[in-house]
Amino acid sequence: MKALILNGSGKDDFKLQFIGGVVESQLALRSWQVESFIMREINIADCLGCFSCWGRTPGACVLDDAGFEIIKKEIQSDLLVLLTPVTFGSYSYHLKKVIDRMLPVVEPFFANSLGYSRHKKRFSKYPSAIAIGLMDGEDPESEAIFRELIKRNAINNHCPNFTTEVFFRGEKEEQIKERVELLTQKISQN
Amino acid sequence: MSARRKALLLVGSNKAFGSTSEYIGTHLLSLLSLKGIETEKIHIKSSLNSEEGVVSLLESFESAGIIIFSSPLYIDSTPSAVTRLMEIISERYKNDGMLQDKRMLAISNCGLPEASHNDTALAVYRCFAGKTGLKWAGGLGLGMGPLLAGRPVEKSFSLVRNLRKSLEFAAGALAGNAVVPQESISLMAKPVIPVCLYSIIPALFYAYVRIACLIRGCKMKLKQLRFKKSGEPSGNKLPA
Repeated sequence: MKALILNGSGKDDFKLQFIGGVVESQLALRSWQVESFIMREINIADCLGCFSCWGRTPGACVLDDAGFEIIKKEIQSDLLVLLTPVTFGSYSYHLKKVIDRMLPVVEPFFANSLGYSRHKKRFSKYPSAIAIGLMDGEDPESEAIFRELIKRNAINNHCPNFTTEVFFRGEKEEQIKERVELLTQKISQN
Repeated sequence: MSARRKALLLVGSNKAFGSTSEYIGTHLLSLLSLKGIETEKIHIKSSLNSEEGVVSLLESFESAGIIIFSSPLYIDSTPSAVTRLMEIISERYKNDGMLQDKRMLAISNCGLPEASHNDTALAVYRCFAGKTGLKWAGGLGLGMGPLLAGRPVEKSFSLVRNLRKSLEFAAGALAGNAVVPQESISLMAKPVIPVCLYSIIPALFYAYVRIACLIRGCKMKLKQLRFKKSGEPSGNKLPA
């Protein structure tokens, strides 16, 4: 079973880097084949919005950078783990760059699902997803937006299963390890 | 002229020109201009490419009393460049009260039929406004964005009359220091054509691309079209 971890942490975000490390080690303990990327260290351009991935070069972005490889790894994984500081309820810039480049994994055609339209699948298999958001403190508004965003992303990107976890900067390392252990145990059982 | 009488349009599209976001925002600026408000337009992505661009953008931001974000919906949220700008503004001003005289309107457009897909992006904008001390003037969400057909709003087909009306209401509210009315929000969100009719547009576009490729003899591109059934993405690099 393959897992891909995309970490959108900033340069000085040691807490999120710590959480990423714990997730990676816990998944590896449970025999997952894990590949992890710190997104600010990867050369990925912003999406051009050209829609070539739907028209001229279906399923593939025309930009020649790491984005192409990361999307390929995403589709070939069984689990996608996204780590980000919750930024106004959304992803950080570093993570959003690669999220935006994930458009090629769906087709331009519409299907109706749960009462609204979404884009049809391009591939036969999609990874399940875990989104881990880190917040400075209790912020019900940001947390609610983040959870809704992950739910919509998961539905629109055809994730068979997804879960959202929110951590706080004040949490102790032991507490974080415990929560991550439970989370990875649950995923591995499913 | 006081800052209150200046509106800054921040275009969040990653396209350099001719985007739906730009056309909608530009039309709103023209309506504000008729009400005696000075206007300025900036492309976020190109500004963020250099330090000078960022400095210039922030100077324009500080001098404006009305801030308008007009962006496409990217994967249910704001495009990455818009996210980056929001991070920069938040770090610089840190909700220290410097932005309390400014009002912010957000416009999000998507290619999906239902305008409600923009809800999370508009919530992100609203959250940003709250955290930085900007006064929230409202959020407008538009579905079926491609029906603008890449034309300025004033040259678009009469199909977009609801969009024009919505922007008129929005301009009136912004000029009058009020929140954008529900009527404006509802008009913007109203489907331009029935969803079932709109849904055939991607199929027509795809057919057009295939025919164009056949006519031009682009065999390499046709080969790529077959990969969609493979269950595995192509590992081949594509020609430029």
